[in-house]
This record gives sequence, C-alpha cells and structure tokens, in this order.
Amino acid sequence: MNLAILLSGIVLASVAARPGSSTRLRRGAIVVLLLLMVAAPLVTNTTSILFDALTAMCIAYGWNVIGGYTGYASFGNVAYLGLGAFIAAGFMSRQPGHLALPWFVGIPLAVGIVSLVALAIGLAVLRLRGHYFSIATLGVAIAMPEFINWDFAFGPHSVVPKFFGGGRPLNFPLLPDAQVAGLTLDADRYLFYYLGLLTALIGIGVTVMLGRSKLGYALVAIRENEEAAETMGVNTTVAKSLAYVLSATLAALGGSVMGFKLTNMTTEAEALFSITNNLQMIIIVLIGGTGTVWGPWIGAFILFAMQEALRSLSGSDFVLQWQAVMFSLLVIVVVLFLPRGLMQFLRGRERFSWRVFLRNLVANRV
Amino acid sequence: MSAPITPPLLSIRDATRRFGGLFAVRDVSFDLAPGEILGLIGPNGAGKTTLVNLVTGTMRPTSGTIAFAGTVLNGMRPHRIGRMGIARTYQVVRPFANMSVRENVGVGAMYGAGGSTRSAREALRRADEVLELVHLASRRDDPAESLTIVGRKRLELARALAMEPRVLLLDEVMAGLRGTEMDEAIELIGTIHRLGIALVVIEHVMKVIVGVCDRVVVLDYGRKIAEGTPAEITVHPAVIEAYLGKRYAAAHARAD
Amino acid sequence: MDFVQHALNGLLQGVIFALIGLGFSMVWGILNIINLAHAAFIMLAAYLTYFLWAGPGIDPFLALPISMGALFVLGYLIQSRVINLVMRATVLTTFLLTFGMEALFVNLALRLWTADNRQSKPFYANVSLSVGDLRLPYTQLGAVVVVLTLTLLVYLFLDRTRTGSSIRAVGQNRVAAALMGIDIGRTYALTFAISAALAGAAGALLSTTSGFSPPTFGVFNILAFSVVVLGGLGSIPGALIGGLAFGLVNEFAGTYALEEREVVVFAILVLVLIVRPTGLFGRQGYR
Repeated sequence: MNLAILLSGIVLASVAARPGSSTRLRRGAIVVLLLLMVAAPLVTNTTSILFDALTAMCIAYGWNVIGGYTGYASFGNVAYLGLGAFIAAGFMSRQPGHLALPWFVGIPLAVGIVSLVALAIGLAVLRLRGHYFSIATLGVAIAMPEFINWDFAFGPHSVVPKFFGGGRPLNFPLLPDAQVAGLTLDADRYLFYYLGLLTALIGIGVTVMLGRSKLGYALVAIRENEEAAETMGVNTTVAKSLAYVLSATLAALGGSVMGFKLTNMTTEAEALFSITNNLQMIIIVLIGGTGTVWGPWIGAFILFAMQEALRSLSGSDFVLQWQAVMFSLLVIVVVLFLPRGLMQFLRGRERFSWRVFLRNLVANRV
Repeated sequence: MSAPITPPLLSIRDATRRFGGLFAVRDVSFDLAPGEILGLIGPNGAGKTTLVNLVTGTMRPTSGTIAFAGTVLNGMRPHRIGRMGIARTYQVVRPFANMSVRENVGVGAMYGAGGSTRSAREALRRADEVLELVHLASRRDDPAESLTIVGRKRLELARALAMEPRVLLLDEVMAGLRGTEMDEAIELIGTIHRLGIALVVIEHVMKVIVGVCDRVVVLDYGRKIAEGTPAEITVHPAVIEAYLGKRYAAAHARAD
Repeated sequence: MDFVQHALNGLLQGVIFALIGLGFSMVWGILNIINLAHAAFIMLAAYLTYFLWAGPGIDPFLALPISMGALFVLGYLIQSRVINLVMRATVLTTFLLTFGMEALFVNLALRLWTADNRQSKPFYANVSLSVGDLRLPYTQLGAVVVVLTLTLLVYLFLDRTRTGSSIRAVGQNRVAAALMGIDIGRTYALTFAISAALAGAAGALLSTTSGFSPPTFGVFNILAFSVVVLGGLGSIPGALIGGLAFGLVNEFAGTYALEEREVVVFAILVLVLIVRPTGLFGRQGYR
C-alpha cells in the first residue's frame, strides 16, 4: 500500500511540475497530492517508510538550496542533520542535568542553534569554491561526529556535562498517542508521520518562496556566473551565507525529527552521520533535478519507492543487509546516466527515450 | 564665453595595477564627464580590460585613486560599486544560461542602482521595458542560451542598462559583429547616450571610435600615451607608433 | 613519553601520510580530479595485505608488490572504463562518482569482512629498535624505507623517462600534449593506476602499523587533501613535507589537546585554505 502511495505521489508531483500542463490541472494535482498525504495513515498499516521519505525530502530540499540553486556542492550538510538530532535529544532528555523540554520547544531550539553554527562554519568555507569548497564541507561532515564525542566539551567533567550522553545512551520521551474525537491516534502511525509531513511541506514551501524572491534570483545568478552577478550588484557573500544557513536549517529540521523517532540517541548513533545519509540528500535532488521546486519531492519518492519495491519483492532481511551497497551503486548509476535528473524530461527539454541515458553517459568523455 | 565646469563623474588618478613584476596598468589618469562618450583604445594587452576591472572593483588598484562622483572606490567590493551606478559589459559574453532573457535582465533591475526598493516582480516588469529598448522583447521568455551572438550582446547591454547606471563601460561590444549588426550597435550606443549615461567604449574598430566618441584615451603597455579628440589621436605620433611601429610612424611624420 | 619520542612518532606516521598525499596529488594535478576513492584503494590494499598474511602467511613487506600490482590494475580499469566518462563534467559529478565508488567499496567491505578490527602482525610487529630512550617500531621504520624509495622512484620516473615526461606534459597543457601525439586516454589511465598503486603501498604499510576496519579509512581523503594543500599541488617534496607536518600535528594534537584529531586536521585545513590557497610550495607544474 505504501508503494502505491509513493507511486501516486510521484505521478501527481510530476503533473504539478510540468510547465506545459494547464494551471488548473497542476493546481488540481497539488490538491489531490495533499489530500493523499494527509489521508495516508488511514489507508496503510505502517507509515514508517513514508516518514523516512518525507524527512529525507526536507533534508534534500535543504541541499537543493546550496547545491542546486547556488551551485555550491556541499558534502557536509549531513553534519547539520546529525547535530540537529543530537541537540534536540539533549534538550528533550529527562536524564539528570538535562532540561527535559517538550519536543515543540526542543526541536525548534535545536534547529536555531544549528543555524548559528552553520553561519559560523559557512563564513569560513564559503570563501572557497569548487573542489575546495566541496572538500572543506566534507571535512565538516567527518569532523562533526568527533566534535560531539569531544570529551573536553561534552564529557562527564566538562563545560556542558554529558549533554550528548557522555558515552551512554541519551533517552527522551517519544510522542504519546493522542486522543481526538474519541479515537486513539497511534503516535507511531499518525503523529510522527504528520510531523514528518510537516517538515517536507516546510521544505517545499521554503523552496517555492525562494524561487520567487530576489534572493532566489541572486543565487541562480551566482551559480551561472558569480563574477558577473557581483558586478551587477549582488552581495555574493551575504547571498551565499544565507543559502548555506538555510540548507543547514532544513537539514537540522529533518534530522531532529528523524532523531526524535529513534528510541534513543547513543553517541554511537553516528549512523546519522553516515556516508549514506550524506549521499542520500544529494542523490535525491539529482534524481529529481537540481534547482527545481518538485525535484526533491519526486526524487525522494522514487528512491523510497525503489526501496519499498525491493523489500516486498525479496524479503526484508536481504535488502536490509545489502541496502548500503545497493545505494552506493545507485549513486554511481545516477551520476553516470542521469546527472540532470528527471526534470529534463518533465521540462520538455528532452523527449523520454532510453537513448537519453546513453547520451548522458558519454556526454562528458575526454 | 566658456561653459561652466562640471565635476567629473569618474576620476582616475595614477591608477596602477601590478601582477608580480608586470604592470598591467601604470599611472593612468583621466576623467569622465557626465554624459560624455569616452573611447579607450590601444593594442591588445594594453591594459584596457584591466582598467575596467579596476573601476568595477573586480580588482584592486595597487596604487592610485579611482573616484566616482566624489566617492573613492578603492577597496570597495564590486557589488557596492555596481549599486552606486557603474555597470559594464564583458568582452566574452556570458549570460546566465539557465535563466530566461527576462530574468537575466531582471537581476540587473533587482540589484542595480534602483534595485533596493523593488520587489522581484517589479524588477521583472522593469526588465520588460529595457528589453523593448534593445529590441529583445520578443525573446523575453526564451532561455538565454538560445540566443545567437547578436542577441547575447543585446542581452548583455540590457542587463547593464537595467542597473540604471550613470556610467557604462562597454568592453569590445563590436567584437564578432559585421556590417548591419555593427550599425545597429552604434545606434544602441546613441540611444544609451541620449538617456544621459556616460560611456567608456573600448574598441578596436576605429570607425566606431571616430564616429561615436567625444574624446579618446589611448593606452599602450599599461600607460596612457595620448588623450584628445578622435581627430587628434588618429594623427598622434605616439599612437601611430604603438599600432604600426616606429618605422611607419617616422615615415608618416616625415610625410607631413 | 617525552617530547622527542612524540616527535619521532609523528614523523614515522607522517611518512605514510606523505605517501597517501603523493598519490592523491598525482591524480589531482594531472587529471584535475579529486579522487575520493583514494581512501577506498588504501582500504582494499590493507585488507589484501592482511588476508595474505593471515592466510598463506606472506610477510606484509614482501607482499607489497602484490598489493601495489593489484591496485595498479584496478586503478587502470576504473579510470579507463568509468572515470573517463566524466572527465569533462562538473565538480559535483566527479566528486559524487568517486564518493559513490568509495561508499561502494566501504560498504562491500563491511558486508564481506565485517567491522571487526584487523591488523597484520608479522613476528616483528611489536618489536622496536631502541636508540637510547627512544623506541622506533620496526614496522614503521620499514615504512620509512618503503616511502622514501617509492618517492624517489616516482620522481625519477616523472623526471627522467619519456612516459613520465608525457604525464607531466598532459598535466600542464592537455591540448598541446594531444597535438604533439601523446595519447591522453592512456596517460590518464596510467597516472590513475600509479596513484592507486601508491595508495596500495600505503594500505599495505598501514595494515601493520595499526588496527583497522572499513570505516576507519574515511579520514584519509581529508588527510590527503590537507597534505597536498599544505605542501602544494604538483610538488613531490611538498607532499613529503606536508605529510610529515600532519604526522606531527596528529601526534601532538592527540597527546596534548584533543583525542578528536579529525577536528584538528580539518581546522588546520580550512585555515590553510583561507590564508594561502596555493599551499606552502605552490604549483609550478609537476615537480
């Protein structure tokens, strides 16, 4: 059932994304899509994979801002994903020495703090371009989990003792089931899902607003010709910094909600900082199409639809074990065959045919 | 009866730019009056484009002063200089490829001198007006990369005009144009002049310089070697020597 | 432990860093590609050396030619068949491709060989040469010999042989080199293969000096990059100096300040990039 929802989501989003279709058709598709997403928990038993897709989407929308619109390929946003999760957990934890804040305070607070951290880091790394920028951001991604484990700041006898658990698991309360109009809404199936949906909607909402704003144009101008943009009056430092911080904010938002659903956060929950998570946000945007409004949505749904399809076909054990390997292969395949994403078909620039993939493959040969 | 002296719009004093041991621009001084059309010529490598880069802030002068309407520009970042009212076109034309023609010009309207009070939508509407001026209105929604070289040059001009500049530096606008295309470009320069914008025209095509410019500054190896009206500099011995070599200059001088 | 011992440890570590930087620098300098799979090559060689020791009992140093040879072949195939396809693509594309390859190898390794800690321990593994109060582990001394030899060989190859000169030519001006009849494709593949072989040597050496598992190699990409930036792209002595410098940094940071060396490495990297993007030795063609 989840697969059906994901596939429908892909189709509806594609319709909404086509500039060629009439406005009424596109608006209609959006409405149906929204209804579908809201009604999803009612028609399926477990919404886990949808939750995963939606939070991944929010994070991908974040990457889209800096990597897609601005053209600065950050390989470090996963650091903000993880940091957001850990900070939120730290705030929400009821263990001694922690503030035990409710989730609707803890999560926004965490996102805010990560934004500030990103601003500081951004001012340093944004002085770089191209290869250098990408590697520096990769460095951020590698350094961040170590930073969280830093005994000096976060160990048992330090400034902020055991904020991140100090080597032991950080527990925090999950969402309780809710009572609405006499019905019990199971937290796992409904409430977490809607929280995830909210992050995705924030992601796409921010992107839509960005695309229409002066900042959005400035970012694309920077991507296309940074020197000319600057000569034309664009304050490139401010614009790039805003883009970077925005991307980190969305990463932290998705990450903290993802972390919230985990039962606890161990300092070894550095699975959050994994290469897979790092690449996932980039591949999602690539599959859909960089620098577009619907690209990340379509990309996320396609990725998770593939995952779901594989799972139902072959049994969860096999897939789970080989998931990372298959994902890495997917990255390579997408980069070679589909670097401009599916949007190139939706935008009418190319007619769909298998030959396009082959052409993409050899387009950049020596 | 002499005309009242108006303060120069652009004032360049001993502008110098070094790259290690090489002087790309050396002790160059001249003024640009409001509404004037100034030609900037010289053999290849004379430092013309570098000089433009110094004015727009893309490069910092090693020494010397560049002032615009009284304000010193040295060390200012290019975007601030752009917003003050100085715009340029590039020798190698590169539009924002993945934006439409309209959006390309819109960026200029959003971030140029008049941009701070405009919304994105207002800027795009202003872009339409500018596109009319350069005869590109019919292509407004096309992707910029679909334009031919002539269209791209017009777009380059439109982008700069949308910034509402008081000074416009044109870097070899004529390169790659032929015959009627060149005449159209000259016509556009006239239109821009009538808008009251001061122009610095860098060109190799003497027909354009002679036909359009009020005054001409000549550079060679980074130094200014002559300044005057087009008629004056075409017979100036240093200019002839720079372009055609010592022997020709000597022969020419003897012939007078 | 006293200061001199620490310094010595740092230098001994640093030679291997230098070797890693050298290979990374060749691909970056000649092909203009940041090869994130470099760390994966190191990993593969480390495991190969380990299994050759654990199984047939082949000494890691004697197995060096095998690791280097295997990685050479792998590198050649990868470049000529896969990386060749994206030579003219954007930074994002090449980064993603090599990153994807790294992820593939690391994840495969995790599946096939698990996250268990491995280390090759030949009979001299825990034996050190004693000079006064100082201890110099034989494995690391061996590494010094290997690295210096390889560095010299690489230098001689690039400087004195025809193939080496053609590699340098391609690095400086691809178009001109092609016009002069140099086979660009083959040159690229060969350079990549040599770089992989150097990574292979580094992996073999690392398998003896410390325990490892698939995830521990990720940091070598950043390290390689840092070494090259510090020492200057295109400079062989620069790679040596950069490697040694980072070896020292790594050792002293770990002892006196943070255990989290990655943070220190990264911080220094960013500082260097901001202050002096061309590194200490700068780029003047490949020397």
